[in-house]
Amino acid sequence: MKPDSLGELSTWLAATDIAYLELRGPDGLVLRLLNQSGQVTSAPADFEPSPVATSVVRAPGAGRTLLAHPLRSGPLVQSGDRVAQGQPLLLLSVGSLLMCVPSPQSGVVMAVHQSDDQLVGYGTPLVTLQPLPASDATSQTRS
Amino acid sequence: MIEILSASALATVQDAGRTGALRWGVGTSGAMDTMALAAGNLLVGNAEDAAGIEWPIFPVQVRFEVDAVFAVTGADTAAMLDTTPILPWWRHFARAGQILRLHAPQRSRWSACRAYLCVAGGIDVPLVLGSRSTQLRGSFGGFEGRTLRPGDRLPIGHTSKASVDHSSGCGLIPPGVSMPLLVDGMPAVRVLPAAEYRGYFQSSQVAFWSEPWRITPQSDRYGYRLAGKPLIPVEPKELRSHGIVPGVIQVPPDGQPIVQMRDAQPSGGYPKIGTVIEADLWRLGQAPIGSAIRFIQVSWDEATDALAANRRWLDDAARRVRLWQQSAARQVSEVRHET
Repeated sequence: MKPDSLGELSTWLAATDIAYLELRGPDGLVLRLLNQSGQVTSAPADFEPSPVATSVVRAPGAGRTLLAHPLRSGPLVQSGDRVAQGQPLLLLSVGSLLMCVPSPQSGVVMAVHQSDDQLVGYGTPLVTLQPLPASDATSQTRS
Repeated sequence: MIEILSASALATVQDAGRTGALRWGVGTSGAMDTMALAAGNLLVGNAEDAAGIEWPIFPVQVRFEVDAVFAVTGADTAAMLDTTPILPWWRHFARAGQILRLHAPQRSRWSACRAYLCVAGGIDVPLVLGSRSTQLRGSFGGFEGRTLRPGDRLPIGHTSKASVDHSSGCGLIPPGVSMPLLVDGMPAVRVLPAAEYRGYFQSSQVAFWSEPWRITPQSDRYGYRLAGKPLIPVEPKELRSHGIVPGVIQVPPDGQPIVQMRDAQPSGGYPKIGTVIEADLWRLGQAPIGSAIRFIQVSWDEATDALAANRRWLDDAARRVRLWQQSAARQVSEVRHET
């Protein structure tokens, strides 16, 4: 990496809420940067990033999965979406009745584990979330 | 109270309709999509035929002046409660002061043009001749016998149930999606041949069943003017005015059919080539201007079977929502006991 690029990268990183950045180069070189409140430094050799906290949202009961509302073509959420507490992640149908699986907390969707029209039971994992503080998440349901 | 905030041309209070008054020349009025109105009422715990608000034109803004359980059914209007998008055909809870916004219908999976707002307790306007539907021609019923205007405040009926609802609600799969009716990919309605059907040339009869009929802009709650191949009677007839009902398809001299809809006048003299069956009037009521429909010929028995199928859908939906309500109420009381 050119010295200029490193400077640009550090400036960009300082402006985000990303705490730790790891870049792997083609010849095995690794760049590890820490961002502590806008101060970007090289991470010490023994630094281990803490594992990302995840939360699994499970089915509250039995039903058939719907990733999108029947009147809409796009899914309610996709991997990478920021969701607010209470925002519908998936729908479950029992005959003509629909129930939603709301997000228990604000966060980012990491994975949706079910495809459409799957029969699930109480406790079946549906979505894995990375919980995040509520401040930045705005409620957005996809159409 | 619900306060109407923005201009909402042609919005009216409607229930399932005013029946039994045709003898006095009073038409039925009522929701153009009675299935959507009934479903919305079931979702909020009302009787099926409670009064709601029909919105044919968007955008719409209303404010809830009190806490209210509500549902928006019919067309998907990308509804929002304050800044939060909310699901269609769903039971929601609004706090006093929140604003509901409805936008132009989104038609990705079902093409519809009218939306219905149902509130627990129903819209509490006076009954006139046994119904709360707005009779626009006679300027009575509904809210002061007219379409709604900004500043109007609509009373909500008393409901005995708990006013606060913290659950994530429940919804229904719209019958437009679960009971589609299509011919060659086009929305269709079932039709019974009417009294003057045999008086038409066979080529016209064939065209009636096989051609698409476009809903022209001259279509509204009084009637839908359709455009297509002109229908030619063997001998032009003039009939004395006689009683007609919503669904009757008249053919004026220009050969372009008119389907009488909810606010149709109760009598007319044009020849009648067919009648859209009662069970499919809701489908027609949701067909947007500019879209095309097809007619499917059915028998009397098939028409009554279709009514029974609608009835089964509603009974099933009512039962499921009731079970959900009981289960949700149990969960609330369990949480109360734990805390």
